[in-house]
Amino acid sequence: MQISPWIKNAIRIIAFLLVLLLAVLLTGHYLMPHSNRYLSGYTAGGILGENFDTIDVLVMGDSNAAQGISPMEWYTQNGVTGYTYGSGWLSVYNIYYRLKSIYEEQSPKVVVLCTDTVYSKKGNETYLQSAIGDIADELLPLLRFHDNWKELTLSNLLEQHDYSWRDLNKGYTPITDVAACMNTTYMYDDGSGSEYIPMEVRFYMDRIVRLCEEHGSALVLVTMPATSWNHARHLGILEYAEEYDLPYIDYNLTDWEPGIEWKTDTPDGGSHLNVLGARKVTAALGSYLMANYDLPDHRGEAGYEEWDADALTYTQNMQELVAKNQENADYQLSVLGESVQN
Amino acid sequence: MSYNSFIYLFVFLGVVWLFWALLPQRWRPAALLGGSLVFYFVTAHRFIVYVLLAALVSWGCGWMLTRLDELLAETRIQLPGPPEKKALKQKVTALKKATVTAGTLLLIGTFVAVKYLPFLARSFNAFMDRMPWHLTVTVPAFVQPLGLSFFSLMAVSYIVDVYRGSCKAAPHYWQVLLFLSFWPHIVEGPFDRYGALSPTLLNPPKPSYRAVTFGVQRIVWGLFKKVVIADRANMYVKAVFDDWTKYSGAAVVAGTLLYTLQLYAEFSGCMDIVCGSAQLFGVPLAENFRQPFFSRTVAEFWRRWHITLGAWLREYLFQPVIVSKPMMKFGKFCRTRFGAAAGRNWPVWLGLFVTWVAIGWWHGAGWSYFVYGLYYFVLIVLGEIFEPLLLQRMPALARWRETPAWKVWQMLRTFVLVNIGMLIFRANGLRAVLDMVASLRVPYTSSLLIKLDARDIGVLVVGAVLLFVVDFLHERGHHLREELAAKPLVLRWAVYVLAVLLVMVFGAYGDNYDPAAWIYAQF
Repeated sequence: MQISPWIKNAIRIIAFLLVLLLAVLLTGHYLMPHSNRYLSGYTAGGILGENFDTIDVLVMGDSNAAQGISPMEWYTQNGVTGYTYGSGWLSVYNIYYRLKSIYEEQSPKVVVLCTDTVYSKKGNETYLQSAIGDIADELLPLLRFHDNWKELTLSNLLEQHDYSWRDLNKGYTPITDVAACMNTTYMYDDGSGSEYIPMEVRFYMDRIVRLCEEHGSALVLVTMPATSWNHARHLGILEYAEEYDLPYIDYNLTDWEPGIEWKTDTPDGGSHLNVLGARKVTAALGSYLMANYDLPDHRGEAGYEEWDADALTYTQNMQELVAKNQENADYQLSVLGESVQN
Repeated sequence: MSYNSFIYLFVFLGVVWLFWALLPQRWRPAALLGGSLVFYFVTAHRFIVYVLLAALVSWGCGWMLTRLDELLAETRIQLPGPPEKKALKQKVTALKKATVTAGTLLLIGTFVAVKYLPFLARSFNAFMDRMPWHLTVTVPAFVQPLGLSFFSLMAVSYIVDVYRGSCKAAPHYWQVLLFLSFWPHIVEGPFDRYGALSPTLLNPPKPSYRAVTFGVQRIVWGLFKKVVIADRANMYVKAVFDDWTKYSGAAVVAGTLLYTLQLYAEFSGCMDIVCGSAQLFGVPLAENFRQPFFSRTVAEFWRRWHITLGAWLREYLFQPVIVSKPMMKFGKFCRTRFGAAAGRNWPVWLGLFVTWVAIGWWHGAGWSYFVYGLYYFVLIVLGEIFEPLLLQRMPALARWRETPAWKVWQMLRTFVLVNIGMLIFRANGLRAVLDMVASLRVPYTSSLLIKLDARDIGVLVVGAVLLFVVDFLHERGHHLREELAAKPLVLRWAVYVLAVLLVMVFGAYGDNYDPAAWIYAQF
């Protein structure tokens, strides 16, 4: 049988692409970090070190989540296990794929999606460019971990990956610096209406909603306090939450305000929260979760011994961190010429 | 939409190619025009108006020139005698000159107004500040549309070529629009000529396996140069040149060498990507580089570096200037007052001066770009003056010049001179140039690993060696893609897979690197 040149060339191209894909996947595998500590920014990768099906509340978000929600607070007070999977510039696309892989090991009852990621994108990229780049990063590990060639040596090239590292703070990164923010009117309603959620982002948010439904997790939308947020964005997320009948908490609004003091509770002029701010938001979110969801107390339970031990160390560490943060806050207030608040 | 972005490489090129390949032959140029307009609109939004108008002006001028020729031909035969015919021809010639002048002035005027007006006003005001009378002018600052320096000059070349009869005028507006807006050459060139490009652009060949594979290979090689070499070197270069007061001695030398490497890898890499992109559609763009670092003189360097800019300026600026009436008069004046050699050389040098200043200022509105052009003008003129003198003093030099050692010495000398030019070109103004040159005497005692670690430097060294080897083989007349295509399939595929992996693994992209904008796109 005579094969037409077109079909012959098409077969050749497809065969080459398959060989290339195989080579890309194989190289990506060898370039993946040897420890889960370095799988993602902050300490998000630590979730892979937790025992299967031990996390009840999973927080997904960017740096605002990583620096703003400390799940170990919930464990020390209520015995509820949680993990903050937060990393700098994590997008909705990244979150979808990471959540999908987390579901392979965990079955969280509640998933908290931090909404700062909905409107954030790097530099002057368009939303489409950002989507394509992030999705490609997730599908081809080589793109995400390509720079790890610098860590490779002949001795560690064939070493087994060890993904058993656990994070004592459960994904939370405490920051004790203080840099006051004087802009407290960022949520002013200028009457411009809601900000449109880009089509690509919305598509992936829908996929996250469906993924949570399929796994039986309740999804809660939460906006962390940050002065980069605004009323139009709040309305955009509110409309989305109403459309899908999802609970939505915006900690920038007075209705939900956890008591953030912008002169002392931020390390960088309002972009993120420090330890003082994070404790307030964590407490407020914890109260909401305990009141609205049936979350078991695991303290003293068999299989959670490591959590009990971690909780003790965490409590000791936090005392020092809170004291240090308070000291910095007092100094900041004195610089601003205000009376020290307790 | 950047040429090295995912969206360009994997979405835009793929979609446009499919449209192009699936459409009937006569509709294929429509796919190219659609792709070009989408590319420009997505990248530069409302500034697409500039391209549409530039195409309208050049098409209008071309139409007018053709119509005048037709009128001349139609009317001439009806005229009774030679005096009437001559008078009509003079009239038509004057009208044609007026048309080409008006079109060129409109295009160049827009180009100058948008790109140079604020600089001219700034310079004028600075000059006036030193005068006893104070006069200040204010001008509006326009945003420079993407590729203005390229499509404006290509539009001028179209009008002049039609006027000179080197190419036929396009009968339809869309044909000129496609030529000017064709996405592979609108951002960084090359400066293509309508006569050379239109046959394949307007009547593209059938899709072919060879064109696709060769095009993709060239794109991957371009990506290697841009993403692995240029973007990595950029981090070092940016640190040294943006904060030049912190660095001296070896750091400035390393920064300058790396800038030369960066600019060459980036600009020639961009040409590989755009020529590869056009090759996918069977369109051969003009080549802009021919192993420039194998040049033995700076004049030769400029015949091998940014070839199409040099060719454009030679054809549409230098040659018209030296054959212009004032220049003829100047030559005559020099000959009578200073002798035959002056009459022969000085008009040419004046023409060269105008051309080199234009090359300098084409790159940007600033005095450092003027000095950059002047630097090469001085080097070339000094070479022309001293070479005969040196040959007169050292007759043995004529024999030595053909020895390999002398050729290598000339290449090294040219390389050093080009690097000095690069320092002038990249430094943040003339003050920075002087500071950086002065700092060369001060030893740099800190680590030379600036913004890059030893592994990154290793990649740059290996990348530069690879670049050199490929250029060396091209210089020796090898056609690497053709030669590779003749090798067994396993070897070919191994090379292709390795090339893609090298770009993906060693590319300077992602969280640890700053994405660097295309340098020539800013000109």
